[in-house]
Amino acid sequence: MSSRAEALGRYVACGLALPLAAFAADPVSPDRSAGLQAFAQIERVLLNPRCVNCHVPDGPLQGDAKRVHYPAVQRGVDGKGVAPLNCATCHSTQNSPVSHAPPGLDAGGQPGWRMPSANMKMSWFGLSGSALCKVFRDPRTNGGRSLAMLQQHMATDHLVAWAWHPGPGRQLPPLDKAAFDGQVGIWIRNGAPCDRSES
Amino acid sequence: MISFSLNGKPQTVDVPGDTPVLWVLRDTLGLSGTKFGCGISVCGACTVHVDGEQRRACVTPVSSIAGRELTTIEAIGDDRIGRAVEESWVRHDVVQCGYCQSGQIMAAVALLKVSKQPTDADIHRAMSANLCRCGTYVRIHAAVKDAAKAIA
Repeated sequence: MSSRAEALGRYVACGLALPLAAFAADPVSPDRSAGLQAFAQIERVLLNPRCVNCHVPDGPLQGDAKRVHYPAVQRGVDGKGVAPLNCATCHSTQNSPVSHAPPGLDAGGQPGWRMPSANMKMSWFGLSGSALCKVFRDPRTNGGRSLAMLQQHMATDHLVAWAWHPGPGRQLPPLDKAAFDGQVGIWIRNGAPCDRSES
Repeated sequence: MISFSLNGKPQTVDVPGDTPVLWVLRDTLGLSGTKFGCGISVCGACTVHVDGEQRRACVTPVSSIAGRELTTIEAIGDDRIGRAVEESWVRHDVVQCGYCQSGQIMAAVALLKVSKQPTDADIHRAMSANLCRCGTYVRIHAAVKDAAKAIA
């Protein structure tokens, strides 16, 4: 075998071995403490204004100070506002380059801004610790998502990802996106624990 | 080339897809009734209707209205509700400088299309997204109420 072929063989073997090694490194039984530590990091992101401003009981908030939204829009059945003031009235397909202008989101070429729908408000406002964790974890209050679906949603949803690209003049979440996705993975791999002591 | 319906007639424009609808209306098509106010979707002076719903033309890329129905202030009076609003605006002598008024009328029509008998709170909420530096809000409010009576 040529040295090039040998090198390729090692590369392939190494590549195959990596996932196995990663799997072997996973805990056989969930590490509750590691899971709780991961959720503490996740919580910092969920309660950031980029997320919690729309995860509220009623109308949305806005800005880093979580002020009442101007104008006084409402959620609507589908989370896209109540006509004549829908989210898409002012929130178009992209962020403005100007600070404090309504941000935008592209959804197949159309305005994609929205809140959670009325039948699943997913409100996190005023919650923390165990209470927030349970709401986030429970499919009855998290949009009907299993843990796998929740992880997928956090990793791939465009509106979630917007939080890390909010345009000028808006505070970023306290973890970067890769670190956040990593913490969600750690929390779920360790059984998605919520702190019982607080409940 | 981007095609859409403009005030009930087919329209095609040859502009980059990210061109704001406001630029297309005013610069490409010469329809200057829709005004440039803040340019960041906050003041409402550039309000148009896309498929009957309010949009801020200053931040709406023309590519997003391909195949849709765009209505501007130039044609809002062709519609029964639009005509009632315009007539009410005249009765109440709403306009002062007039710069925001096409957006105000488009907002009022959008409200009355979904709420034939709006309450004071409905009117206040719906019209709160359109700013008027002359402070004609009281007359705007009265004109919307009067237009609602006219179409009842």
